[in-house]
Amino acid sequence: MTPLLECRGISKRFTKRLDLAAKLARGLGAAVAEETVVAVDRVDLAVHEREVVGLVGESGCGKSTLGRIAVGVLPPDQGQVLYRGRRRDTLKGEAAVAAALAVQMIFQNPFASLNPRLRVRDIVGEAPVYHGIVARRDAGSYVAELLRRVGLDPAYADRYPHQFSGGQRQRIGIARALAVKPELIVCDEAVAALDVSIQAQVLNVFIRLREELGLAYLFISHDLGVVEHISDRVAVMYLGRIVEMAPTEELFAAPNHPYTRALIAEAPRLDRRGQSYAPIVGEIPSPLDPPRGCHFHPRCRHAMDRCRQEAPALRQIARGRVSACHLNDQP
Amino acid sequence: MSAEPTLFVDGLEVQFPTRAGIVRAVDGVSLAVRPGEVLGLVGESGSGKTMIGLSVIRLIDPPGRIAAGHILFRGEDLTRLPEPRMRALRGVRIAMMFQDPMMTLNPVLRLDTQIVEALTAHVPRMAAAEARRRAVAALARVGIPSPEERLRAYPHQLSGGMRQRVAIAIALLHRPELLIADEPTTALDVTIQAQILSEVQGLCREYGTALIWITHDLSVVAGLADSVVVLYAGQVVESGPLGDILDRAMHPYTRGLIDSVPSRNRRGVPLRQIAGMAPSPLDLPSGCRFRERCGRADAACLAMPELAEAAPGHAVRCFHPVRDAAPA
Repeated sequence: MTPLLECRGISKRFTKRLDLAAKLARGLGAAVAEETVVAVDRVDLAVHEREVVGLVGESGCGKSTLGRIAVGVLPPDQGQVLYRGRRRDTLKGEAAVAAALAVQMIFQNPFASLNPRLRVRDIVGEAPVYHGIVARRDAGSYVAELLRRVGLDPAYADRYPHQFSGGQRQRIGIARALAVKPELIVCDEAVAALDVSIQAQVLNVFIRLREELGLAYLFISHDLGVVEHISDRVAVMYLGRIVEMAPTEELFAAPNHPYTRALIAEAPRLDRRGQSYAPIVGEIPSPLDPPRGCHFHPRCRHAMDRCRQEAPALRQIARGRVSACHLNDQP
Repeated sequence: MSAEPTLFVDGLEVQFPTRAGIVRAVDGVSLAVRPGEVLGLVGESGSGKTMIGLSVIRLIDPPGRIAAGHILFRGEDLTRLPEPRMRALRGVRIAMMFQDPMMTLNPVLRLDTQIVEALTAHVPRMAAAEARRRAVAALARVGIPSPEERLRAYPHQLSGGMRQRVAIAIALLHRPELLIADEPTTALDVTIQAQILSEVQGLCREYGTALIWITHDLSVVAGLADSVVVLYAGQVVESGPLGDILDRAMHPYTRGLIDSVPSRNRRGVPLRQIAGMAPSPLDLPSGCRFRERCGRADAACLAMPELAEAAPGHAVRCFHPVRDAAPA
C-alpha cells in the first residue's frame, strides 16, 4: 500500500555562515570555521492513511526539523518527500496545492502560533476561502462548524487570541489546520505547554477527530506517555537519526535499542513509586560535533569498539520493527 | 516521622491587589514537612503552588503580600522575621530552585565568581582557596564533569541541564535544612531529568534535607515524594501520604488529575478528562471552587467544604468524596 506521506533519505543541515568580522579573522589566520549542524541525517519515515505515528526524542534530536520537512515548510537538503507515491517537489499547479493542503501542522506554542491581530473567524476562515474550499459568504457558518468540532463555542469567532486560555488557543490552532480538509496533521509538541487536565482534553480532541474524519497524525513529542497513548507506531530519534521504530505496544513492552530502553526506564510514571533513579550518564552530545560511529555510544552501557567506528544501520529485527544497534548482530 | 517538622505553614494567605479586585493567590494553606521528607506540592497553573514557595523564602514581589498565617521554620515565624535575619537564613538554611536556572544564575558573571560569592556572603572569613575548593566540590557532587574547568565558564556556555545542575549545586552549598524546588526539571529532557531527580534524592537522604517539590506532574511526584498536597485555586483540596493520594484519592479533582495521565488509560481511547477549566482567581465560584467542573456537585457544594481528615493522615476538602478504590 502506498503511504500517504513518505520521507525518503531526508537530510537537513544548518550552517552558520561567517560574518564579515569572522571572515577577516580567518584571513588573519584565526581558527574560525563555519559551523554545520546535521539536524536530520538520512531519515526514512512513512505515515499511512489513518495512521498515527509518534516521533519521540529529546531536545536537539531533529524531530521538529523532520516534522517541518514533512509539512513542507522546510526543504530537505537531500532526499524526497512523497505524497501518495509522487515526489512533492515535482508536482505542479493544482496537484501541488492539493498536496500542500493535505498536510497541515499544529505548533507547540499556542501563544506564538496565532496572529494576535486577527479575529478567530479570520484565523480559521482565511485559508479555506482563499483556496476556494468554501465561498466567502458561507465562511461564517463553516468556521462555526469547525469551532464546534474542536469543542469551542462558535460565539467566540469574533474574539482575538489574547482572550483565550492556552488550551482554547490550541483548539483554535486545530480548527485552523482542519479548515483546509487535511489528511495528515503534523503535531509538534502540541500538548506540551498545557496543564495536565487541559492536556487530556486536547488529546481527546485529537482522538475524536481521528475517528470522525479519518485523519492521520505525525505526533512529535518528548512525552512518552502521550505518545504511547495516541500512536499506532513509534519512531525514536537520537541526534538526527532514527534509532528504532516499532508498533507502539511492542516498543513499550520490549524496547530493543539501548537508548529506547533508557528512555522508557527513566520516564516518570504514576505506578513507579519511591523510584531509585539509575540514570544513563552524560549529556546529549552537541549536534555540532556528534560522536563518531553510533551517536549513542558515549552514553551506552553496552558500547563496543565497533560502535565507536561504524554507525549502525537501521535493520529489521522483527516484522514491522527496525532498530539501529550493533548488538543485534551479535550471536 | 515523629520528628518536629522543619517547616510548618499554618493558614497562609497571599494576596495581590489588582484594579479588578483582590486576587487571593493562596487562601488558607497549611502544610508541614519533616527532616528528610519529600513533600510533593501539586497543582496546575494558577493554583498558588509557586506563591507558597516564594512566601516561605519571602521573595514575593510587591504589591503581593502575605496577608495572614504563619510560616514556622524550626519554630521561628518567618512572616515576622526582620529582613536582615531572613537574609541570613535564605540561601543557607532555606534554599530554592527555580524552573528556569537563569533565575538563580547571573548571566554576566563566571560560575566561580557566583559560587564563591554565595559562600563568602554567609561565611565572610572563608579563605579564597577554601571557597574555591568548596565550589569545585559542589559542582562535582551534582555530577558536573571536569568541575575545575567548568568554574571558569559563563552560564550561556552550558546546556540547560548543566545550568540546572549548577543552580542545584548553589542551592545545596550550605546544606540547607529546607529545599524548595519549583519544577526544576520541567524544561529538561527525560534522561537529564532522571539524573537531577536521582541527585536531589540522594542529597535529601544523605543530609536529611526537607524537600518541597512543586510540580504539576503527578508522575514525577510518584517517584520522589513521601507525601502529597494537592492545590486547586489557592486552596488545599487533598493531602496525605503518597500511596493514599495515588491509590485512594478522594477528591474528584485529584481523581481527575490521576485519570488524565495517559498511561492510566487504555491506548487510543479517549482519556477520562476533567471538564472545563480552572476558574479565574478574580471570579471564583461561591462554595466549593471545583463544583462547576465536578460531576458529583449538588446543592450542598454551594457552601465551602472544610478540609477534614477522612482517614488517618489523609485530609480532603469535599462534601462528596470518592470512596471506591481507584481503577487500576
